[in-house]
Formats: sequence, C-alpha cells, structure tokens
Amino acid sequence: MSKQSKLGRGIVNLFCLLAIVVVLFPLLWMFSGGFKTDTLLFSSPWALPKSIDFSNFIDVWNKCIATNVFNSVFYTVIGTLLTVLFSGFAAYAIVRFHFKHKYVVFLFILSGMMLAPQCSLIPIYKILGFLHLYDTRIGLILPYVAYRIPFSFFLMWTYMVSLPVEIDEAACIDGCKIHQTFFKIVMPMSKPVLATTAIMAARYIWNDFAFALVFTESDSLQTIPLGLFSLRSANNTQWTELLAGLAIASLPMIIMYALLQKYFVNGLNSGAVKG
Amino acid sequence: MAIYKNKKMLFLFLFPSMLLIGALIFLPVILNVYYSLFKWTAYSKSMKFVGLDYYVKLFSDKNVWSAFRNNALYAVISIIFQAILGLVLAYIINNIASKKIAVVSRVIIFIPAVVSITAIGLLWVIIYNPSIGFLNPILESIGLGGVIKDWLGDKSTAMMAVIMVSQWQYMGEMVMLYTVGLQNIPTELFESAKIDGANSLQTFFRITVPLIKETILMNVMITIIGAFMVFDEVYVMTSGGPGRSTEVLASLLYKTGFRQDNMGYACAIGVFMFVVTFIFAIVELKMYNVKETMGGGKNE
Repeated sequence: MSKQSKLGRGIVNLFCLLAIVVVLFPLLWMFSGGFKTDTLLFSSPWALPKSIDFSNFIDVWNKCIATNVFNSVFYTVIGTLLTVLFSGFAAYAIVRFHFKHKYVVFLFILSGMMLAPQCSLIPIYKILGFLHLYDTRIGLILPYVAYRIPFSFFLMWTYMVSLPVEIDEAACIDGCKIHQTFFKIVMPMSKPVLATTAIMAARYIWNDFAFALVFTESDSLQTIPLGLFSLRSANNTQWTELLAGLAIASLPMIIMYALLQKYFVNGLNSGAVKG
Repeated sequence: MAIYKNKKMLFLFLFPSMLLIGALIFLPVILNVYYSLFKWTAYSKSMKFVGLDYYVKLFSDKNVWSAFRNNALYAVISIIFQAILGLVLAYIINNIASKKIAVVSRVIIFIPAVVSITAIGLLWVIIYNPSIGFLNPILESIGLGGVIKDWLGDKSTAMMAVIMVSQWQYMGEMVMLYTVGLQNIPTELFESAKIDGANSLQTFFRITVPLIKETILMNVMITIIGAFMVFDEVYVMTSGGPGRSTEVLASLLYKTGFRQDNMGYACAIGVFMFVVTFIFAIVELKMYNVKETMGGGKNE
C-alpha cells in the first residue's frame, strides 16, 4: 500500500472511531445517568455516578413503568404473532394456490406499504370507536398488525417463492391436509424469514408512540413510550428517574439487536431494492 | 397439486390480511376524504356538510404552510445526512477503513435505530437541556461557549435541534442499507480501477454511485416520505413548540383533531399529507420491481 493511501486509511479509521464515540456516548450517558442523584446531575452533567445505586430504577419501575412494560410486552408478543401468522397465510396463498386475479390480490396487500398511518389517525380512531374497540387492548393491536402485514408479507413471499413445491408434494403424498402442509412443512422451512419478520414487527410495535397515544386513553393500557412521555410532562420532572426509565425502555431492543443482529440486518436488506 | 385449488382454504388464508388491510389501511384513506367535507367533533353525532371549505381554508392557513415548510426542511436535511452522507459514510467504512473497524462501526452506529424514537427523543431533551445536559458543557470546553443556548427552547434553533436528533438516530440504518448495495458491487471493479490508478474519490463517483443509483433513489424516497410523515420525534421533544416553531403537518393534524376537536379540518390536513407522500410512495413501490419478480417470465 502506498504511503498516501495508508495515511488516508488512518484518517478514515480515526473518523470511524469518532462516529462510534458520537453514537455511544449519549447512550452510555443515559445508562449512567440512571444511577445518579438529581443534585449530581444538576451540579455536574459530566460526572460519573458516585455509587451503583438502583433506587431510580426501582422508583420509576414502581411508579408506572411496571404496568407499561407489561402492556408493551403483551402488545408486542400478540401483535408480532398475529403479524407473522397472517402474513405467512397470505404469502403461502399467493405462492402456492392457483386462482384468478392473483396479481390484483398481491398488489392490494403490497400497496398497503404506500399508505402511511399518520394521515389516517382520525378515520382509524373513528373505525375503532364504531367497533367499540377504542381504548381496548385488541383495538390497539389490530392497527399494529394491519400496518405490519404488507411489509411482512413481502418479506415472506420473497422467501417462500423459492421453496420447491416438490417438498410439499413429497411430504403430503398420502393426502395430508392443507393446514398441515402450512404448519408442518412450509412454516418450519421458512424459519429464517419468520425470525426476520418477527423482529421487524416487534421493533415496530415496541417502539410505537403515535398509535398508543391516539387509540388508548386509560393509564392501565398505556405502553412504555407513553409512560416515559408522561414522566417528562409531569410538573416536576425527576430527571434521573426519567433517565432510568429511558434505560429500561431501550435495553430490551438493544439486547435483542445484540443477540439477533443477523436478522435485523436481513430485515433491512430485504427492504432494499432488489437487483 | 389439487389441494391448491381448494377455494375455501384459499379464502381462509387470505381473509385476515385482506380484511385488516381493507378496514384499517384502505378504508381510512377513503373516510379521510369523506370526513374532510364535514364539520364535526369527536363526541357529537351531528355532521354538517361544508363541502370543500376546509381545503380553501387549508391553502390560506399560515399554520399549515409553516408546518409544511418544517416538513420540507426535515426532508432536505434528512436527504443530505441520510441519503447522501449516509452513502459517503458507508463507502468509507466499507471500502477504506480497516476490516475490524468497519465491522465494529457498522454494528455500533446502528444501535440508536433499534431504540424507540420516544426514548431517543427524551434522551436528547435532557442532553440539550442547558442546566442538566452535557451538550453545552462540551461546546464550552472546546471554546464554543458563545453559541450555547437552550436549543429546544429557542424558536430559532428548536426545529434544527429536533431534526438533528433524527439524523443521529437513523444515519446508522442508512449506512446499513447502503452497505448491502456496496457489497453487491463486484470487487474486481474496484481492483481494476485501482490498477488504472483511480483514487478513492474517482472510484466513488465513477463506479459506486452509478452502480447503486437505484438504492440511492430509493433511500431518497424513503427519507422524503418519512420526513413528511414525521410525528413522534416532534411531539415527544417539543410538541410543536415553542410557539409553533416546530409544528409539522402530523402534529398539526393531531392537535387540530384531538386538542381543538376540529375533526373535519384535521382530516383535510390528513388528505393533504396523503397526497404529498403518495406520489413519492408510488415511485418507491415501483422500485421493488414486483411485476418482474412475480411474473417470473410468465407475464413477460
């Protein structure tokens, strides 16, 4: 390597390290902030916590986050399962079944991706009210699932389309039922894409703010993002408690990302242009 | 196989998705238009037909246009940082930096994108805060004490402060998206460019950019759509304030509908947002090349 390009690489490496610091520092500051006292935070924002004291975490957990965590986990788990199941059904139908207007159905599901929920908040709110689902658990889960299906369907369809139909045929030579083919053969073979789809859906539901804000009202139904938001809006914000709350809210997704990085990356990649 | 002609099973498989998409994605778009023609509130049953009045009002409403300008600013800055600088960053990480550093930085700069906008937004509310945040002390310590201020509390800087948080959060995601495109470029191309004596800059503009044109365009579309739909970031950090300095279309829609209970007008704003983004969305969907992939030669 020439001297010049060595120097170039050195500068670039330094620059990458700088980018890492810019990203990591605020996050680490958030985690350490949870261990500080309000006085310390006000007197010197830079200082490291004096001791490892979990009282902020415990206080914020007891105050509201416990209910919120339960709700967020509930919505995320149920919403993700339904998304994967329904998208899997639809992708399977498009890949395997023979029927008229297949392309129309396909486009119908896929074009859901073009319609952003933010413009439709009021009509969805009205529809949920009409169905007596406003401010209920199921009334919040259904919109999540609906808006996740188009993309999830797209992911699963691109995968299933490459599964050879001969496997279904061979496995089912003795005349097995269609739902058995789906649950026992097609779904297990699609495991990698199921994981990707599930993670993308879980990230979306766990992190959502707008739907939870508009479609729920009761404190008992609220999710972590709303809980954090109301901690901040309180007259006398306990900043270090808030920081502890932020840390609690961020940790599950960061851990999931650390463990299942491959699937996060796959999820993003499949959204990118093909070819 | 004969089982794949079973109409009843086909119906069962397609029904949940189609019902949910029909009822909660497509129907709301139509209802939005319908509701925007009436004056109505959340809790009263009466709806008074006002025709296109709200659209006339919308086009002369200063608040709508200032919100629109904020969305446009959001779009421009996001294109610069995510679609353009994201590519540059992805390029130097993938093509110039050492392997180990490349892997580590790609993994780490993506972390903020997996955390909720709410948590990131509130974290930055604290970081920007003049009495407890660390941003102003940093600026002071590097001799920029003159510029420090209450970033989110000052009308002139609040919008930019919110926008920059989005850039911080999502640049890593863009780098990840571009990385795929970059890794699909055959390495021989870079090698032969090197042999011909091309420097990194030339390689970038002559090889990389032309070969991932589509990815760039796609990311620009995603960025624009996101910018015109933005809600969480703004609502969490400033709720549109101070004054109306950070109001965007979605926060204006939310406040008009759910705070002022002027549902008809809020729907008109929704339709306006829909029209603005729909055009970009069509371009984006076209790029998925579904027809080709689906037809697999059958339709060709």
